[in-house]
Formats: sequence, structure tokens, C-alpha cells
Amino acid sequence: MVDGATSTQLRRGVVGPCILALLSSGPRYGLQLVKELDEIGGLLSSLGTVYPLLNRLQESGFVSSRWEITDDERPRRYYELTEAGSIELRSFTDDWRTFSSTVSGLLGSIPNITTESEMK
Amino acid sequence: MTNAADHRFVESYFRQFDDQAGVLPPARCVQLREELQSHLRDAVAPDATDLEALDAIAQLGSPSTIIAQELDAPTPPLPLPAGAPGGQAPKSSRGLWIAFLVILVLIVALALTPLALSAIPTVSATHLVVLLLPPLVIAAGVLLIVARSRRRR
Repeated sequence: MVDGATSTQLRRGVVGPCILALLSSGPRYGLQLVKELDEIGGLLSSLGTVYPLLNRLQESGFVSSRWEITDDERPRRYYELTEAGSIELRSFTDDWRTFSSTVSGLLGSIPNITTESEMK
Repeated sequence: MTNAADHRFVESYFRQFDDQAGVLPPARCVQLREELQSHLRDAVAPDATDLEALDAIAQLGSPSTIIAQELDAPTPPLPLPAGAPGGQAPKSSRGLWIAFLVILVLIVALALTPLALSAIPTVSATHLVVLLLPPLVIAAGVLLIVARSRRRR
């Protein structure tokens, strides 16, 4: 995982929309989201930082939540994408395509950049 | 509240959380705590070893990191060791500064004395004592405070 202030800021900016993207395929409870984001890799500095983001997304009206009893009879809070969340996700997806292609184009035009993974 | 079956490290984690979460709005604090509890109950079985519990807690992140994230603030930096750049001034150098200030007070007092004497043509020994007494008392007071605080350390 990459450390440093820049990557921390990057993660802070993208993990929220990634949560919305995961929820677009169906409701999930907190730990499910944490595990899926962790499996993608490189997105989370620590697993617990997902929960404040979920709180914030809920406050912004992008997700809603409800308690449900699961098969193991444990109550869990399930999160679901709202209509506002879907609009936000579409908007982010468009922005991200433009943004990432611009940055990739710029970085690709600079010769002799050795990335951290290539150095290892 | 933690479950009676929670691992002792999980209980300790939530004691820390409760100590630090007072800065959060109550509703957000409750929801965050519920989520963290649910997470740790899944990750740490009551009969988990201490090592397993510590590993799960380390992966989750410290209460201060999560609360800082909830407040949308940067992760609180670790306190810098005394003497490190940007850290607390080392104690010995603080003592030197205080000694410097005491000497400065005395120099200013002595420098002002001739001015005061010229302003009062008929100066007596009593006048001199009255003029010099306040700065001397201040200097002695500062030295006393420094000496006491050093003894406490």
C-alpha cells in the first residue's frame, strides 16, 4: 500500500464514490463493504475509516440504511443507494473518466518515470 | 456498551473510543460505535487469542484515527519527541530561556536605575530600595517557580 499525504488525500476522495459503486449492485452491510473494498486493494489505509464515510454518505442523502436480522440472527445495518446517490455516482464516473485519462496522459508523456512497484 | 462475551482487548478498544468520542455529535457517535462493534464482533471471536484480537484491532484502526475521519480532519499526528524539529523544546533549553529572561529583567532594572536617579534629584537609600525591589522580587519569583517545577519532575 502506498503511504504519504498525496495518496491519503486521493483515497479520501475516491473511497466514497467506490462505496456508491459497490452499492449500485445491491444493498450491503458495513463489514461486507469493508471486505470488498479491502479485497480490491490499495484503497483503505485502515478498515475502520469506511464507517465514517458511510455516515457522511448517509448524511448527504446518497445512501440510506435500515436494520435487518441476518441468517445468523445478528442485526446488521444495511446500506442502500438512494436516487441522489445514483446521480452522484453517474456524475463521479464521468468526472473520473476525464480526470484519470488526463492525468494518465500527462504521466505517460514524461519519460523515465520509475514507479514504486517497478523499483521493487 | 460492550457485550459480555467481547474479548478484553475489544472492551479496552471501546473504552478508548468512549473516552475520545465526546467530540462527535451524539447520533453520529452512536452509529459509528454500532458499526465498529459489529465489525469487531465478526472479526474477533470471544475465545480469540490476544494476537488475533490485536491483529483485528490494528486492521480496523485506532479510535483516534476513525474519530478524526468522522470529523473529516487529518489523522492526528503522533506527538513529536522532545527536541525533534517542530517538537516540544527540550527541558534543558526551556530552563536556559527562563534564566535568560531573569537576567534580562535584572539588566533592564539596573539600566533604568540611573534614569530614575536623575529624575529624582534628592535620592535616598529608601528611594533606591523602592526602585530596585519590584524587579528583584519578580526575578526571585520566577527562579522559585522554575526550581519548584524542576523538583516536581
